[in-house]
Amino acid sequence: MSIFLLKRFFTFIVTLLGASLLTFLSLEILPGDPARVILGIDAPQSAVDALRLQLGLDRPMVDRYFDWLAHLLTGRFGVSYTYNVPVMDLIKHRIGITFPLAILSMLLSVLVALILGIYAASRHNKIGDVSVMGLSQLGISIPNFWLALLLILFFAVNLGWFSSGGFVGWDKGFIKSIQSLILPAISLATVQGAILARFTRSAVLETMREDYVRTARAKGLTRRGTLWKHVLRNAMIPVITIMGLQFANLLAGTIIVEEVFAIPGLGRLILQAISNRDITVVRDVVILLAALVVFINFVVDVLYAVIDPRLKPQDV
Amino acid sequence: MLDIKNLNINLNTVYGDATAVRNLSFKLEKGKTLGIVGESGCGKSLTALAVMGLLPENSWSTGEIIFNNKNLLSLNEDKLCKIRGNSIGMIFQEPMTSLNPLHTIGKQIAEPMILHGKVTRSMIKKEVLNLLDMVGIPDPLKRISSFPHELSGGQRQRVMIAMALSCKPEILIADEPTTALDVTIQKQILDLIKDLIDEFGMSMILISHDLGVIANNVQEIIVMYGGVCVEKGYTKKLINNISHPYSQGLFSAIPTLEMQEDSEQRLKTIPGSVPEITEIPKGCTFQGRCEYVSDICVKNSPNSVKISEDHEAYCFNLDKLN
Ligand SMILES: Nc1ncnc2c1ncn2[C@@H]1O[C@H](COP(=O)(O)OP(=O)(O)OP(=O)(O)O)[C@@H](O)[C@H]1O
Ligand SMILES: [Mg+2]
Repeated sequence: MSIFLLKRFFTFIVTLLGASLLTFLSLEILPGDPARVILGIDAPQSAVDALRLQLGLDRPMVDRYFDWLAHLLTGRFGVSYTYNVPVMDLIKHRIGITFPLAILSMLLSVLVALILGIYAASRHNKIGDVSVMGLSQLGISIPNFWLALLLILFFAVNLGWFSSGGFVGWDKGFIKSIQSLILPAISLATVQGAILARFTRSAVLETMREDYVRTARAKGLTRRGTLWKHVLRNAMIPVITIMGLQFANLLAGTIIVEEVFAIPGLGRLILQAISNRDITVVRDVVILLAALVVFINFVVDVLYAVIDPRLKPQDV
Repeated sequence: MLDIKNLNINLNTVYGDATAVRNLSFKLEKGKTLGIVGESGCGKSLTALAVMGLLPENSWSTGEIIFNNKNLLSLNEDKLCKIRGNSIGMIFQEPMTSLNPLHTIGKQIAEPMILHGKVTRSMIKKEVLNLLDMVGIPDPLKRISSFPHELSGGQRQRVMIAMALSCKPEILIADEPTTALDVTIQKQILDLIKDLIDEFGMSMILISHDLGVIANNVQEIIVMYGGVCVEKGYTKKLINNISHPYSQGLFSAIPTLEMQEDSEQRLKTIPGSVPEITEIPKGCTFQGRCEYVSDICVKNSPNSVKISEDHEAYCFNLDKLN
């Protein structure tokens, strides 16, 4: 197990290094001089040059990359140009909103997808199956920002069940906080859940055709008994892979959904930081999210080893 | 005990509906063994699955399968579940894929006994160990917690046998139990099955495409071709006087010891191949590959011709043959 963890840790580091390089380079080629953006178009060139010097933008790219890496490794995040506070402070606040939002929508999506997917598979080609497939097709084709607007219009404006945006803050209590996250979570979860439901359905159907399922029936198990005892666990192996991948999508989705619902989370922070050319913030938050995604994939791999005895932890 | 009357199995394929098994009738008495032999695609597995009530979704069957005075084809699913694994056990063709990869051997063997209430919880482990020992798995205490991928093909088939026999069924259906195995293992497995059948006084339906295997292991033989029975009879009588041209072809396809020594002598095979179920001709199903074919074979289906007591063949040209 320790070899397994060591190997995984190594992959973790290599992946993060790759991600950091990509993040850094893509911000480098972003048009617009951060100093110019911060000071405005009318500022004199001398002031811009002075700020560039202060921000260290005059130094070679390679130096700045390694500087940044060194900072990350020692846990010292940068200071935001625009907010003039350490990036860590900006993140600390917002991660407590974005992370629960992501978890909540992941839970919603997985719960609904598994129930619908399994139900559809057990009613293969019958009306229940066809309805679920139709519903999921609808779910896949609705863009999440548009769904978000529809949800606001219906549940917040018309029915008044939820607030139309913003986040009340955890100090207002758990229920209230979750209430203000529920609409954004639904709009994030819908597409992912619809895809996952379809995937679950086909994984279950495929597993039902396996020889060992026929063996189980030959033992005298009912269709339902076979489904619960033999099909589901086998079918979950591919489904878990997709869940891991979807988590990354979900985090990316928060950028748009937080903007629509005016939720002060990491997604919104990135979006604003990009438009303000607040490069320190963008790259620190992006690398944090990348680390989160890599970590989730690590969890998925561990889950594999738990479910499937054919995989020894060393092989993962 | 088992009486199959006019069994027809129809399939809904992409090319339309087709009859894969036609007018099949046979009886299996208590404690007796019966073999079904024929090339791949003759409908042997479908026949076995029909008895189990586990035909594929796109198929349906007509006729009667009477088991202990009940017609299995008209029983509901709940009643069938009580018979499967309990009174009728089955071993499948593919030992590599027929075990659940995520469950231990012990759990899988215990499952039917728990399901049919054969043992108390406290006795389960002992019972499973007994079964593992009985089918010749070395070191049962260790193997009980092994997973299928840790076992060889032969061992997995032994596990399948233990599972099928765990509830001491009245009938064991073994569908090509050794086809996927090494030649050396094949005989061991067949001997094991035979010994256990004798020990428990069970009946057996053994399915194989190898007439040699069938002739050595069962008391009565049914030769199938294109979904119909072409010849049937007691093993001794049938083997001593193989009558149908197809059975004769099958028989001469069995390799003998002398042949292996003399490599000049090639194995005789039947020219052509089994027709697809959608292309089974009217009249005699074997007409396309038969060297004795005549007009009547194309027009009509042959009726049963009695060769001797307890031995019959379905052919118009039996007189020409001998
Ligand atoms: N679910 C299905 N859908 C369509 N055709 C099928 C289906 N199952 C079986 N068949 C066809 O029915 C015919 C008989 O199949 P069956 O499995 O009974 O053959 P078999 O005699 O057991 O052959 P083998 O020695 O290969 O096991 C074959 O031609 C096969 O292709
Ligand atoms: Mg078969």
